[in-house]
Amino acid sequence: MNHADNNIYLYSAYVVVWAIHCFYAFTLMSRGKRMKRERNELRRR
Amino acid sequence: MKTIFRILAVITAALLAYGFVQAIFIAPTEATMGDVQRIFYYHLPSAWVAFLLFFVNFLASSWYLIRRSPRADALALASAEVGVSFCTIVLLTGPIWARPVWGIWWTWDARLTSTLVLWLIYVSYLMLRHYATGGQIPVLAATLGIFGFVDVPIVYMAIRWFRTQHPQPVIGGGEGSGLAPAMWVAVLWNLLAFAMLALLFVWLRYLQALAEHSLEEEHAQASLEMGEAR
Repeated sequence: MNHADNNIYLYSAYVVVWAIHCFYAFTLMSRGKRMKRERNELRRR
Repeated sequence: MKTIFRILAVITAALLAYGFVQAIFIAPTEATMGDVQRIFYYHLPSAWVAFLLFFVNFLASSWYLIRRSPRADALALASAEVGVSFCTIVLLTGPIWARPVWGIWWTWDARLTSTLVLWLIYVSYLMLRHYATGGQIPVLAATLGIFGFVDVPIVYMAIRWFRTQHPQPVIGGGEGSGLAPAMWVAVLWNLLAFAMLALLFVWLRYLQALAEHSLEEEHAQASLEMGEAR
């Protein structure tokens, strides 16, 4: 096995992990903002 | 509350950075597999954190069925959602490691298959909560959460009960198995870092689930008042 060639798998795995965590954090933040907006609209009405 | 969250977020960021340094630069290179083995320092802690979150879901679901507490329901939803995200990481990093080491991305052995089934159970839990309508949804979801958790010990024990392609356990695997002490340091730092990250995600999602609940009540109240006004 050529170890140097396998580094692409290592980097890919780390990118996948951080992509998923960042995506989830972004989803949480945008959901929070949407809910705040909805609540404000409801109270204005 | 916000201040505590921010302090924990800073600590978590520092732990994640240190865990990364441990995994990539400090942990010794494995003799046979080389650097690709370092995927393990994210794969194993993610799996343990996912198991822990599904256990929290199990406890919260049971509590919800006993007491019908909206807080227990919110915790069950939050832990399942974050657990699925960690379980997704396990299912993706595993094949990325397997390709150079085994020569294949996937095999239908007991550990891999039971993990996929676990992921499917909790994805169906989230789909049930998201798409179904009606007052009984939390009860159905709690029941699914309790029975779905049965798969967690099966996943954990699969490599002990069956002959699998998946590597042997790092804890209690018998003579000749296990990790070098220097590798344990990287595993434990990353476990702590990912557990903290999961705690923050669950905390945020829990608060959102409670807010969603009260928003639904406010919506219902507003429509009632509008109906009465007419």
